Formats: sequence, structure tokens, C-alpha cells
Amino acid sequence: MIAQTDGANFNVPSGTRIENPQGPSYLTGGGIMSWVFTLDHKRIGVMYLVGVLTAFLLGGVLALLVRTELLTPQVDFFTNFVESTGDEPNIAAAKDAYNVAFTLHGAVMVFLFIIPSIPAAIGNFCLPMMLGAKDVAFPRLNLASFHLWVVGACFFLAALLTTGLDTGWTFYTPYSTTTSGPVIAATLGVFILGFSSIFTGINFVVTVNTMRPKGMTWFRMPLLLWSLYATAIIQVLATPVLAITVLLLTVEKAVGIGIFDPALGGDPVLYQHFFWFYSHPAVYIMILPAMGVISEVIPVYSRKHIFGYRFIAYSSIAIALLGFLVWGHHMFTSGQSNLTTVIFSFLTFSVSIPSAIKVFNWLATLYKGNIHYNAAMTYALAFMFLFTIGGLTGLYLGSLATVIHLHDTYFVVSHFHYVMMGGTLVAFLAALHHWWPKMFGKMYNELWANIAALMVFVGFNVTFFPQFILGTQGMPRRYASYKPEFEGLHQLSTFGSYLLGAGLTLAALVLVHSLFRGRKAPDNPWGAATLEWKCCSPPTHHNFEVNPLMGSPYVYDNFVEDPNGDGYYEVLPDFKREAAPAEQPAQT
Amino acid sequence: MTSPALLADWFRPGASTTAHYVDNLFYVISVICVFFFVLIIAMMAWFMWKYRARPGHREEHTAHHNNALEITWSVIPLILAIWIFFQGFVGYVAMRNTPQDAYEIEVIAQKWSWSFVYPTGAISPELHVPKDQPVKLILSSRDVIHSLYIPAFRVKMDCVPGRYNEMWFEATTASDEVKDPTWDNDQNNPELKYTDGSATYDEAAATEGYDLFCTEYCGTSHSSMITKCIVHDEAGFQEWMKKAMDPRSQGTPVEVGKQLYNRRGCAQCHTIDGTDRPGPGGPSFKGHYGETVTFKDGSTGKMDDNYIRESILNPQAKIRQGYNPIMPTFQGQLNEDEIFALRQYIRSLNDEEVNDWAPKEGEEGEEAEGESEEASADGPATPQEESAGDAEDDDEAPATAEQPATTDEADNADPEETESDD
Repeated sequence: MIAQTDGANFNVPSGTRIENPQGPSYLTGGGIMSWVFTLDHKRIGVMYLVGVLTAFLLGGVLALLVRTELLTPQVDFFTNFVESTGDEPNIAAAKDAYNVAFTLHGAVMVFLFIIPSIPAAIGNFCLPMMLGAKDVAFPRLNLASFHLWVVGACFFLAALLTTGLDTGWTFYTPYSTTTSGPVIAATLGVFILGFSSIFTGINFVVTVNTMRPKGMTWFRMPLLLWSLYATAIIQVLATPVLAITVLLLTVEKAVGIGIFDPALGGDPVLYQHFFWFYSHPAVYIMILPAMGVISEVIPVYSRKHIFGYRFIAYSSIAIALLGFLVWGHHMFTSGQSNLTTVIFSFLTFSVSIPSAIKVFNWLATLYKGNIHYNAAMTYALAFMFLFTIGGLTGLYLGSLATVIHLHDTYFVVSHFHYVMMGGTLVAFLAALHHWWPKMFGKMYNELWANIAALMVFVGFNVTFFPQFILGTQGMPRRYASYKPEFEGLHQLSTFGSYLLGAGLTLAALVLVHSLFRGRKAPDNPWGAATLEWKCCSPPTHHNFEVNPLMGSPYVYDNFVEDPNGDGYYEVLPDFKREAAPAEQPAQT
Repeated sequence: MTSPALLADWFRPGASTTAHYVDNLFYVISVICVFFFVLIIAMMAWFMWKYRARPGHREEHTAHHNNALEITWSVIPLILAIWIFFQGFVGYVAMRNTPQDAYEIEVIAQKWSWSFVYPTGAISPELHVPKDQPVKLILSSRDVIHSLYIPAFRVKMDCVPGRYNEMWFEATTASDEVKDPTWDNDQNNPELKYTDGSATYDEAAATEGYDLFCTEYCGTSHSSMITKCIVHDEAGFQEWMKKAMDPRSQGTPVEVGKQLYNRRGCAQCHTIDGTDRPGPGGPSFKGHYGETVTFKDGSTGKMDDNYIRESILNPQAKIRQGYNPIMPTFQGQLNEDEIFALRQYIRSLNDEEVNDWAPKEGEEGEEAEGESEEASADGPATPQEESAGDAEDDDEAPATAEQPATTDEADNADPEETESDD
């Protein structure tokens, strides 16, 4: 296996095997407090992971409740959750319960899961290692960011326990300032989570700028780092706007100053402008890291250098910048001026180009590869399928004539689920499966993980594709009850959501099972060339005992599959050994 | 452009003059999307098969980038995107340029019902429009943001409190000409017509109108803000208008009251079976008439005709203990006849004696004739016939209740008439 030198252009050098020094894993040692107050980016990443997955479980259960209610046109399922008045079920209260469920589903998924999932959980774990650094630039700020996330999540939990938060995750005024629900608790939670997000962003920008070791140039950085860098810029620039917006909302609700509420002389559309000035770029906080993950996963499992590295890197920055200019497309029917509407429509189309470039580049990366269908790759390919649908359906929503009809219908619901869930969640799962051996030092069962991935893929499409049809037929979103003619498609969608739920549960079981019964992971199970695979699995506290050798993150020629099936190991090509003989002893 | 069969089923036929802008662009974008989707996924699937890892297969080294290729696949989507934008722009301009001669209807949205106010002063909970004539809607909201959406016309616009938004459309197909069963599916499911048991539109309208939805989330009964847009031909519209101008022409006060209860959003919060809905709902219409009730500030008062009237016109004035101040005002949306009808309806639910319409002739007869020619020609005649018929139905009521009713009605009828004169 080592000397597979038969390939035409391929020649594995019969060099020396590089051994990793093994030290105590970052996972072991210390009590619970050593985790709570750790400054290790990997432990913070793992704690974030536990946090966002808990939030995802909560949001997912709420989603299934919402979908179950929509099995029938009438409000019936949620009547089980509310006190009935007399003999009749209390329909009004059941509708309120439904409204609370979809609001919390949206708010929890967006603020507690999707936004922090890849940047905070995966990014925290991977970014310093991929960069070749020992930690992030500000470890204490990093810890503070996690603690703030917990505090922010607690405010959400408070809103959940008191229930009655029924504004939708967007908190549109004047509904949010007039409703009796715990809007203040939730918006303060968003405010605090915003700081958590800003801290992570600052940390990543400074880390990438200042902590690249010698030899790690900008264009040797793995593409995940480019996308995390672009994401961090958005986090730092856009999140303060959200913080101020929700603060204004809180002050308006608590004290009654008239900023948004027309009854007090305010302007409710102003709120939408403020809110989407953050929340549209936030969509790219959600999807950019996902694109970064896919740019890492596809080359590794295709054993191919990523195609068009610079185009992908620049398109990440382009998306981050253009993402600031398109918020107005959420207000096409709000009565903003026609000129504004036309300009925002035009700008909206500009974002589609860098996204398209990435898809074509991933496709070209597959070309003439040697494609391994590991679970992470299955998720990455599923991402390409789902993101293509999500991206293309954006054309309907950017175009003015069609969006008037489709705005606020299930078409939009489906579109953003394809992008945010089919995109970000599936990429998050790809990332989780890709880096799982590195994070926990255990291999999961590839077959069952793949079955779970296929269930997620099929379940996702069955859930959300019918919603495109519902939307074009005029089914408005956020309806507790609906016209009977939509029943069939809603039922299909609900059954899909059960399959999706089952797939996700299976994926979770496979991963948790691996923690207890999994085979010990080799240092580099996939033969990836980025630096985190040069640490041992799981890494030691300071990641690298010595500064790792820089090379291209996408050249796999030096990685040789272990004949015992124990992952890949790196051999130094002969010319490198000759060129740098001094470094060789340092490695061992 | 003729639509492909599959898409036609998916995307229902439009019924307004601007719908084709939406539909055509929808089909064009669909073709582009399907093309690129098939291209990308077919290539992906092909590569997935051809380059799958298997014994003896190795990756081949290919170029890491190719500027010409990458610029090509950036520029082609860019050109397509700009072209799609332009098509959308053209349609949008048509959809936003209101014709000068458009018939103006005011739309007042509130939790959780619609009021459509016509130039004649008529108000209806469903939207009635003439066929083949541009209609301009001036949208406003009494409380939170709502959004008016008629899928068949491919139109949508938010109703934002504190400002007026504007939209227009011209319906091309009268409602009763709609043969496509998908648009009036309701009649096949009479049981399911009102998805939560509360009717928001009348029986006739339900079978022949186009759906009209609220699409901006507005709280508890957001999904019940479904009503209909009924497109009449010219004569039918005049006929309907005549009827809408005069609630008396539609039945006894109790019948009209019941209709108002169902159609004006009362049913969303107030039951008629005696079950109160605290919190998001309201007290039942049944079982409280004449009771002494406690208000939020601790004071007490009697739930009588005065309280009902005040609650309709100024609902925030006295909130009953245990309920939230969420009821919108109906000031300017219900005329005195309608308030009278609602009062009689509530009385009837509580087994109180009900009153019939006060006669229009006598002290008001002169005024009514001077008012508007259309209304006075038909108006007084119809209610007389109706009330005559009704008197036979419940003959014990009028005899005893006639006297107080006249005085009661006379007080209220005067402002109403002055209102209609404007």
C-alpha cells in the first residue's frame, strides 16, 4: 500500500514516516471546574458543541410539534397542551400555543443553534489548529463569549418556561411592543448572545491576522479559515446593529418611548430596516462557514486539490460584503418606495454570483477524483444538492414580479430551510462527522452514519419540497390552521419531518455510541492535509509540540494509507528531506 | 406564453391583468432553475459514479484553477441574473403603476378581521370588486402589521399602522365564472370551510370568491383572517352595493347581528355558548347580559346596552377583570343600525326580549329620501317587507318590546342618519 507508484502522474515517495508525539489529551484531566473555566479553545469548542446541540434538540422537538399540528387543517393537536374551557377545546389558546411553538422554534434555531453552530463550536475547535496556532488570540475573551452564550440561552429558557413569546423570531413591531409575551426576556437574551457572537468574531479576526505561524501565508490558509474570517467580519460589524435594535425595542416596550410603535409616533418599518440590517448579513454568518466546511470536506474525500482556491476565497469575502447591501429585500411588500425596492432587488441578485461560483468549484473538484463515500462526504454531497435548490429558488424571491406573490408564503419558508437547514445544518453534520475523530479520538460506525445521512437527505426533501408547491399555491406562513385543499402537501411534509427527525436521531446515536464503543481514532483517519490532522487524536493541550510544517492544505500526495487500515500517515517526499534535513529530527 | 402542464397545475391560473407578469416570469425562472439544477446534479451524479473510490482507481492530477473557465461560469450566471432582474422590474412597474381611473376602496385591517370601505360608505368584511375595472386599495391597519394577499391576483401589500399603503389590480374573471374547482374547493367541504369553527365570511361568498389572506403574522387568530374577494360584473356590483348600503335589507336585527358576529371578527374571541375565554379571548356573549361585572380597576358596572355600545366603540374604556385589552375599536366601521343589530343579537342569546328595526318613516322618513337617490328608491321598501315577514316568525317579541325600542332607537338613529348624509 505504501508504494502505490503505478499511477501515471502519481508517485508516492517512499520517504520516512512522520510520527506524532503523543501527549495527554485535552479531554482528560481536571474536574468539572477545569472545563467551566478552561481557556483551551478545544474545550470551549466542545462546550459550545454540547450547548448548540442541546438547543438544536429543543428547536427540533418544537419543529415536530408544529408539523404535527399541521397534519390537519384544524387546530387540534395543540388543544392537548392547553386547558379547555368547558366541554369545548379552547381554540384560541391552542392557536396561541402554536404561535409560541413556531416562535420558539425559529428563535432557538437561529440564535442558539445556526449562528453559533459552525463558527463557535466547530470554528473554535478547528481554527487555531488549522492555522497552526496553540490557541486563539484572546483565550479569556473566548471563554467569556461562551459564558455569555449560556447566560443568553438562559434568558431564552426563561421566555420558554413562562411561554407566551409569540412574536415570531423576528420580533416585528408593533406586535412585539404590544403583545403580553416575555419579549423583553427574549430580546435581552438576543442582546447578550450578540455580545457572545461579537467576541467570537473579534477573536477570530485577530487570531487569523496575528497568529499565523511562519510559512502560513494568507493563500495557504485552508478555505474554512477564509470563510470564518469573512464570517467574523460580519459578526463584528453587523451584530452591534442588532444589539441596538433589540435594546431600542426593549426600552420602547418597558418605558414606552416612540421609536417603532406608530401609536407613540414611531415607525414600524424602521424596525424592519434595523432588524434586517443585521439579520440579512446574519444569514451569511450561517451559510459562509458552512461553505467553508464543504470546501474542506470535498477535496479530502475526493483526494483532489480544491479547484479555484482563490475564487472560493474571494467569493467568501464578496458574499460577506455584498451581504450588507441586500437587507431591503425583506421589505418588498412593506410599502417602502418603489425605487428602494428596485435597487434592493438588483443588489440581491449580486449575491447569487459568488454563491454560484462556489458550487461550480466544488463540482470541478470532484472531477477525476477518487471519491470516498464517508459519512462526512455524503453530507457534503447532500449539501451541494440542497444548497443548489436553496440558491436557485432565491431567484424567484429576488425578482420583483414573482416575490410579490411568494413573499410570506411557504415558498419562503421552504427556501430558507433549504439554505439554512439543508445548507448550514447539513454542513454542520458534515463537519461533525469529519472532525469527530479529531475531537473525541473515536471512530464512529461509517455504515450507520451513512444510513443516517441518507435518511436526513431524503427526509429533508420530503419535508421541504412540498412547501415550495404550497407557497406557489398561496399558502401563507405562520398559520395554525389552513384551507383543506392544502392538507395533502402538509401531510407529506409532516411525514418527511418524521423521517428527518429519525435520521437525525440515528446520527446522534451513532456518534454517541462511538464515544463509548468506538475504535480509537488514528491521527489522520481521512488523509487530510490541513494542519489539525498533524496533531494527535484527540489533540494535546497545546495542539502542536513543535510548529508543524506548512504546505498546501489541499495536496494529498504525501499521505499514505496505512496498510492496517489505521488511517493515513504522512511521508516526507525525498526532495523535502533533502531540502530541509534540519527539520527532520525536530519532528521525532 | 402557455404554461407547461405540470407547472400549470402547480401554479394556479391568475385572474388579474397583471398576473401574467408573475406567471410568465415564474415559468422562465423555473426553466432556468431546472436547467442549472439538472446540469449541476447530473454532473455531480456522473462524477460520483465515475470517480468513486474502488480498487485500482486513483485520482488524476488536474489543473488547480482555470481562469477562463471560472470567469465563464461567473459571467453567464451574472448575465442571466441581470436579465431576470430586468424582467421582474418590468412586471413590478406594471404592478405598481395605478391607473388614474381606478375605483378606490379603503382597507382597514385589524386583529383579526378586514373592513373594506367603499366610496359610497358601504362597509363589508369581504372584498367586493367590479370586474374589468382597475381597483385601487388604500391599506391601513388599526393595530399591528397585517398583509393583504389575494393569490389569484398575485398581489400582496402590507397594512402598516400609522401609514397608508397602496396597491391595485384589475380582476379579469368574475367569481361565479370561476370553474376551476381548485379556487372554490370550499364548497366540497362545507364542514371544513372555517378551519377553526369560526366563520369569517358569508356562505354565498365562500363558494364563489377568491381567497384573501393575511400574510403578515398578527397574533392569535392570524390564520383566521381568511376572507374572500368577490368579483362582480357591473350590474352585480351595483346590486350588491345597494344591499350593502342598508343592513336592514338583510334580515331581522338578530339575523343581521348574528351575521356581523360571524363576519366582523367577534367570533374570534367571544363565544356564544357561555364559555369564556380568558387571556387571549374574551367573555362570552351569552350569560352576562344584565350582570354586574368587575372591571380591571376594581370598579363595577352593569353589562347592559350602554356597556355593549361602549365596548364596541371604545373597547379599552372598561376592561373586565381577567381579560387583556386586546379588542380593537369598531368606531367608524359599524353604523348605528349594525350596533343595534349586534345589541339585539346579544340580547337574544341571553333570552332577553329583542327589538325589531325602528321604522324608518315618520321622523326619519323625510331625511332618508333626501339622502341618496339609489338608496331611498329601494331602501325603505325592502326592510319593510323583511320586518313584516319576521314579525310573523317571532310574534310575541314586537308587541311588548315595540315601545322602548322606538325611543332607544330614535336616540341612536339620529347620529347615524347625519353620518350617512356626509
